[in-house]
Amino acid sequence: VSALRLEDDLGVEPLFRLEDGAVRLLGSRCAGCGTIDFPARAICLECGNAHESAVLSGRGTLHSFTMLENPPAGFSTGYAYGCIDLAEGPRVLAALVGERFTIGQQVKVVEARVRDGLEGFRFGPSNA
Amino acid sequence: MREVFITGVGMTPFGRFPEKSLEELGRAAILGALADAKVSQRDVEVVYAGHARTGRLHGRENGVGQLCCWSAGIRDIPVSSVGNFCASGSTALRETWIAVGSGLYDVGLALGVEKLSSRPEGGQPLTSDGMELEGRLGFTPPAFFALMAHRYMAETGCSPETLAKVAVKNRSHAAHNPLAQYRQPLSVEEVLASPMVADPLTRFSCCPTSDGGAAVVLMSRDAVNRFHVRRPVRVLSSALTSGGYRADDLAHLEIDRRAARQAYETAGVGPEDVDVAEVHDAFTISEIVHYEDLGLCAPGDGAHLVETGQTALGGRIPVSTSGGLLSRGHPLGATGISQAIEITTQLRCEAGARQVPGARIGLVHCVGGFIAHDAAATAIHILAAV
Repeated sequence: VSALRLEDDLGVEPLFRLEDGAVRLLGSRCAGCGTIDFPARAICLECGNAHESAVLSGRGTLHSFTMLENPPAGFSTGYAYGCIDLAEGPRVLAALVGERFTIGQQVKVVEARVRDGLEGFRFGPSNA
Repeated sequence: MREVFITGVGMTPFGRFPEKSLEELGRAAILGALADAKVSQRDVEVVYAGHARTGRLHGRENGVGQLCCWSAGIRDIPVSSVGNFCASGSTALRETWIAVGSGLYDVGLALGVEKLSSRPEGGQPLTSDGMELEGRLGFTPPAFFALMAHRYMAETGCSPETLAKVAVKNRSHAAHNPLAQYRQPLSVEEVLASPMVADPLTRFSCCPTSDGGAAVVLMSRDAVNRFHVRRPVRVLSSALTSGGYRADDLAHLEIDRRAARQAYETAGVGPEDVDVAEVHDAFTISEIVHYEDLGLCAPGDGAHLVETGQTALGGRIPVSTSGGLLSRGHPLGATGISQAIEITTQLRCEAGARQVPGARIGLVHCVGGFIAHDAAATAIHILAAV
């Protein structure tokens, strides 16, 4: 049985794509002030203008992290979890690949199982 | 806005009461508040009811206020439900304050009620409304506050032992509160040795699953005089705001700083005037960060407040004298009202063994819910003895 994709489970537009083997996040950029967000949004929080599609590098800095030992429903095992500030500005909260992390380290998005039976993305060390 | 006073309080014990219905919990709280205010059902002119999880858990997204009012003998008046995450009760209090303060009504009742013990995913962290994408990517409320804890510890050098001392302090306060969910003594060792939920937060670093109801009666000055209220407590200010959704430093909550500024400005007092506070200590780290965001100490000094006992009973500024969410319990919608009840009880000098001597000004803080990567709602009320 092939795992369901995150976007299909949510019923939303694709959140990322592969480009030359690298994962790119599909976000948006404000036509007015240039502010970038992820996931893609319709209206800018900063200036109220419309957003257009934008492809993000998927690279960022780990603002903080934790290890979830008592996982929520849908996760059969514990996992590392982080707050990532993407290079283009948006903040993302997501599970991490790996066990040892430091605040301020560089991370990048990788294709990964997000929870039981669901494929999507996590973040991992950028040098991995 | 006219002056508004809290003139009656009532709440059920907080805990796990699988045999009690929402209706029973709400009715008991309402009847308690009416009796304390020495008014009857027909004196109440408007009701706002806060509840957050009654839709998912009990098939009642709407009408919990009417259900409890109907059960308690209140009819023929405007009754509205207020859902605002963990701040649902605080928001019901604010709506009632607006209704009475505006001059439309003289006597209002704010109710909060919740029954979480029936949730099917017992033993696992409570999820958060609306976090569909984030939840699939691994989000839980304890995870968010664990991120806050790591960031805070990295910036200040605060240790897991200091975090644990918040739970120990609040448990020692709860020992004096007969309505609190957990009252037996707790040690730092026990907090640290309890099962890890989200590093560094252990089970006893997180608030429990709770059921309960709480209600307060609010009155205008005219009604205070008409009903010969003995010890009214004045609502000096009520501030409510929503998230800024910016990528701020997670070692603080910008939403709380914004709400606190508004609350102090409207009340005409500063943090140095606050004698006692109930804050939203859903997790040990939260309380320390709330001290700083509410201005009870300088940024970075929150851990020092706990270490030196300044926020314990007998300290400079006792916080969570009820036992807080950690030990009094956290039945979401009822929490904000129960916090206002604790501060009202303190300002009436009726808190018994947990009384803060001479308390004149108290603060109530509630932060709830998430949108994207930020908190969704913060409500702050500042109350004063008259």
